[in-house]
Amino acid sequence: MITEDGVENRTMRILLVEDHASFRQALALVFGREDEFTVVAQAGSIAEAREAIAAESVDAAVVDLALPDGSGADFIREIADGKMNISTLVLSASLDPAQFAEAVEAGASGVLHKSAGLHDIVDAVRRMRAGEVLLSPNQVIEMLRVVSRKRQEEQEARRSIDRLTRREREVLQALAEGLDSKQIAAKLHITFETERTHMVNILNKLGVHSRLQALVFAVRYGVVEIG
Amino acid sequence: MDTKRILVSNELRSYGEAVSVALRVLCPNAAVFEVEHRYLTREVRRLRPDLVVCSRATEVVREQVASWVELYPDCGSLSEVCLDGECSTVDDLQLSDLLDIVRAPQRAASTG
Repeated sequence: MITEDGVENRTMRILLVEDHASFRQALALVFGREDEFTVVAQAGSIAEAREAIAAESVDAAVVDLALPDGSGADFIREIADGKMNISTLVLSASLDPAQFAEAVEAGASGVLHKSAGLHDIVDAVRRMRAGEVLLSPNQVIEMLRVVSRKRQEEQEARRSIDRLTRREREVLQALAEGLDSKQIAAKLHITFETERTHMVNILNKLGVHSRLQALVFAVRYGVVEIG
Repeated sequence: MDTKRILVSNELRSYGEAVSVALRVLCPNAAVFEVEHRYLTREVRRLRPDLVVCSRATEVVREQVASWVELYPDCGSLSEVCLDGECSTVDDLQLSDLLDIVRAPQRAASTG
């Protein structure tokens, strides 16, 4: 929209949130060469990004997802919840579609993989400036489906974990320590057959088919500690 | 002084392009070439660069290029810098560090 005070000519004020400093600084230089953009702040972490938006007026943020103090999606959610009127573009090296989907659910206007070229990145920010929609409704719906599916899987996993008995958790922990069936039985002062029974019950409850799968599941959801 | 030849190659295209732009702007006396990572070895043999900045230093880079920087391999925070055979690991490499490397006088010729 064109206003009387010439807002259409105002440069877009950009915040770059990226922990790879040399890339971030090079990207700032790239944006700085375009007349319509001004990089007003750079941040290498969510904490720095929070400080930046408190100190500077920002129109758009280009946000990495893997930051040293958390996920960029959390920062995007903060921006969206705070109604700060900052458009956000995710620029990530993640290969996990669920991470991109979570960012969109959090409020990101668009997502790009870092394998994209500079032209695509600058163009995406330019389109945000023009008020264009970067993601089609179908893309948004698909991403929200991904998030929903992942959340459902996590809830099911948590329910499975809750069904494990204390003894079954001890068996899993012993498995994580690298013990075989006989060693687990000896450690827990149970018979070999009882250990096998516990393991069958664990596999059934977790919906997996092998000891290795059970171990991976247990590690992923923090049921056991390794090392 | 001869123009320093720099070959930039990163598996993440945005990294390679951004670093190339920055080096061309900030080091106008250097000749900056950018190549897709899959062609890195071929281009090292063809261009015989003085410095390679890449995401993964291949065997040919390590053996035939005087100086190279492995920028954020595996997307971690560490980079490996090898200048005329002296290698070190650098955390949180800054663009100014890269510029210092580019502007450093050459001490040895490429063996390639």
